[in-house]
Parts: sequence; C-alpha cells; structure tokens
Amino acid sequence: MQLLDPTATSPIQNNQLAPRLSSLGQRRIALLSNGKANARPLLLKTAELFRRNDHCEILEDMVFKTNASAPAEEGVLAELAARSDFLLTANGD
Amino acid sequence: MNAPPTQHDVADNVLDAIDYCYAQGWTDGLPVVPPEADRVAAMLQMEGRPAETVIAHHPATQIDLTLQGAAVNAVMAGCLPEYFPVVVAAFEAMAKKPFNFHGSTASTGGSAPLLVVSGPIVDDIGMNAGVNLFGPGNRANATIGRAVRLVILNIFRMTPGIADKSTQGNPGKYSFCIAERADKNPWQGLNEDLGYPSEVSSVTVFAGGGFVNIENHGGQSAEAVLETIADGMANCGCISIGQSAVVLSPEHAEIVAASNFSKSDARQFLFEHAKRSEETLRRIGKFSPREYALQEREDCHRGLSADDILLVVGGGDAGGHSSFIPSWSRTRASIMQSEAIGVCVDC
Repeated sequence: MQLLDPTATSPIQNNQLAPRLSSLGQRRIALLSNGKANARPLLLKTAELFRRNDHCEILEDMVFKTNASAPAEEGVLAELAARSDFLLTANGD
Repeated sequence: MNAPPTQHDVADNVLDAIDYCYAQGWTDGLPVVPPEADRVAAMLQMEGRPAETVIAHHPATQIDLTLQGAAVNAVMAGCLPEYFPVVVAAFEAMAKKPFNFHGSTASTGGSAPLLVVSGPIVDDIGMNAGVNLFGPGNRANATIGRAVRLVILNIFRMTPGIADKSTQGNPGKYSFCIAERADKNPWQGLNEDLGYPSEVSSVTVFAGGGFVNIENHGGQSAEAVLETIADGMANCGCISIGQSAVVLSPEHAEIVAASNFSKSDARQFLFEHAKRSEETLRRIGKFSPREYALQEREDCHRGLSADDILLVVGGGDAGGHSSFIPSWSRTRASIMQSEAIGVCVDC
C-alpha cells in the first residue's frame, strides 16, 4: 500500500540578523510594545538599564501594536528604524 | 511550483497503515484513514483547480497549503469527496488577514476555528443542523472539522506544546463544525446575510474560545431569552471587546421571532445587554483604558457593536438550550471571515 504524505515542506527562509552595533554607548532606543498589560513596564525597566549603564537615549513615544499576535503595522518598523539605533520589543502577558 | 507529494510504502494491511500514520505523528490522537492516492484523487476531482493551487499561507512558518495537502488530510479525517469544497472554502476564509490565522492557532487562549456552514450544501452533503448539533454522530460535521485540525497539525505544524501553546485548549480542537438549520430559522439564512444568492452556500470561520451552554426553559419573550444569553456573553471570564457567536436553539428562536424581533433586533438587544460596569472590570483586573475608550460607552460591552455578533439557528426541536461561543483572545485579534463554497463569486 502506498500512502501520500500529509505534511508540507517549509520553504528555506533567508532571514538574517541585523548587523551588531559596535557599541551601545549613547545609542537611541525605540520601544515597541505588543500592547499587553505587562509589556510596558518590562520595556521601561529594560530601557532604563541601557540608559543607566550605556547612557542610551530612550525615545519617549513607545509604540503599541494594536494586535499582540500580529506583526507591527505597515511602516512602523521602518519609521522607528529611522529614528533609533536599536529597538526593544516585549511580549508582556 | 510545489514538489510532488512524497509517497510512503507500507504493508498492504489497513491496520498496519493506521499504525504507520501514528508512528509518523500524522494524527490528532485518533486513528486516521490511510491516505491512499486514489482516495486523494477522488477528493481533488471535486475541485476545478490544479492540485498545486495554494489556498492558504501560514504567516509564521511561510508554509503554503495546496489543494493537494488539503485533500490528503481530508482523506485522513474521513471526509467524503463531496465535503471537500467546504474544507477548501474554510481555509480560503481563514487565509484572510483579519482572521489572524497564526495567532489564533498558536495562542495560550486555546481557540479552535468554528465553522458555520449555511445554505443548500447543508442538505446536499447531509450535514447535521439539528439535534446534538455540536456533538458526535454526523460524518460530514465531524470529518470536515477534523480535516481542518489535521491540516493545522500536519501542514502548518501547529504541534501542541511546540507551536500551539494553548493553556487548556478546547474540545473543538478535534472538530468544530456545525450547520445552520434552515427549516427552523425564522429569519434569512446566514449565506444570504452575507450577500450571496440563496443557492450559494457559505462557510463562516470564527476563532472560538470554547462553548457556553445557555439554558432558559421558562422565558417566554424575546427579552427573557436574549437577556439570558447576553448575561452569558458578559460573564466575567468572557467579557472582552471581541466578537461573539450565538447559536439559538429552535425553541428560543421561535420565542424571539414571536415577539416580532428581527435578527437585527435580536443582535442589537444582545449587544446592548451584554455588558459589565467599568467598576466591575476594574475590580477583577480586566479593565483596559484603551479598549474602554474605543467603545465610547458608559459600560463595557462585549464587542464594539451588534455587527460583532454572529447569530444563527441550530439544534434539536426540543430544549431551551442555546449556546454562546466567545472569541479567542482578550481583544479583537481575530475577526471572523466567510467564503462561498464551491463557487468563485469574484470570477
């Protein structure tokens, strides 16, 4: 008896990590929350560590996704990238 | 172009083939029908499109669902070929972005896609719209819903504990497929509500968070029945701005219609009464200023408007038992979608 395979092959994804920063000193940090209740305090506390230890500047306007389980809205990441050196995101449930 | 499907040679014995499927991890825990090529071909004959046609795409894994993949899993679920267009339409509906296919199948919320089939196909393929609507006993309901789960498991790899992180899941994750009962529906069918001609059937998919039985055998007015349902919709564990599915039993539907309530009236009544006070939500820790602002109302209602309530009729003749199925998630992360079955209304 021959059975047909019920699974599918996952395509090869060419996702690559962004280049590492040479240093964290005095960089600008953007904050992206998934919108859940604990994401904001988690992001703020983490960013505060970067501010204290590396003299980073924190962008004040934390961005909130409207849908926690979907990617950020079109254009959000590009806009944040233009104003910052790196981004922190959090999934506080 | 997708590669031709891999074939597996197994012993010429059905029980051995079933065991082989178990060994490969291809099941939902129950035995499956071994997917032999001739059965898959029969399934595909119900489609006019090539087997490699992509009907859904998983945004996280980037995996495509082809008609071929859907057909293999439909065979395994026990579907007859005539059920296949419903399975296909269901995935075409779930592939629409607002359904949030990945989130709704991966979340701790544990939702399962509820399929509500409406129109002449219900009788054509022998679906159950009556007694024991959500229960076992009907091949079409059981296997169409199961085919959806097997595709989610086998094609999209939403493996429990790995990609599917449901805290408790729900029984609908085995199968969650019902039909609208036309002969006891005092109003227009869902397919026509959606704008299709009466002869065109539809499937609506809703990321359902479970099943809430709504019992009222004493209420004899629309207000009494609907207030009971609204109370269930607004219980503290379910209240959110998400959408709702309400399945009125024939008894309840008759009472509501006898009070001269249209379907639109009933949905509006449910929306107006399915609410909790701001103080209550604050007290239990579920108050969200952002969602409250979005509603622009004094109280916290379930959903944003009456349009967020899917209202259909189904179930057996006897019994004051309706049901409410809450949405997955705390917010509006998934919006229900519909699709015509077996026809291309845009072509």
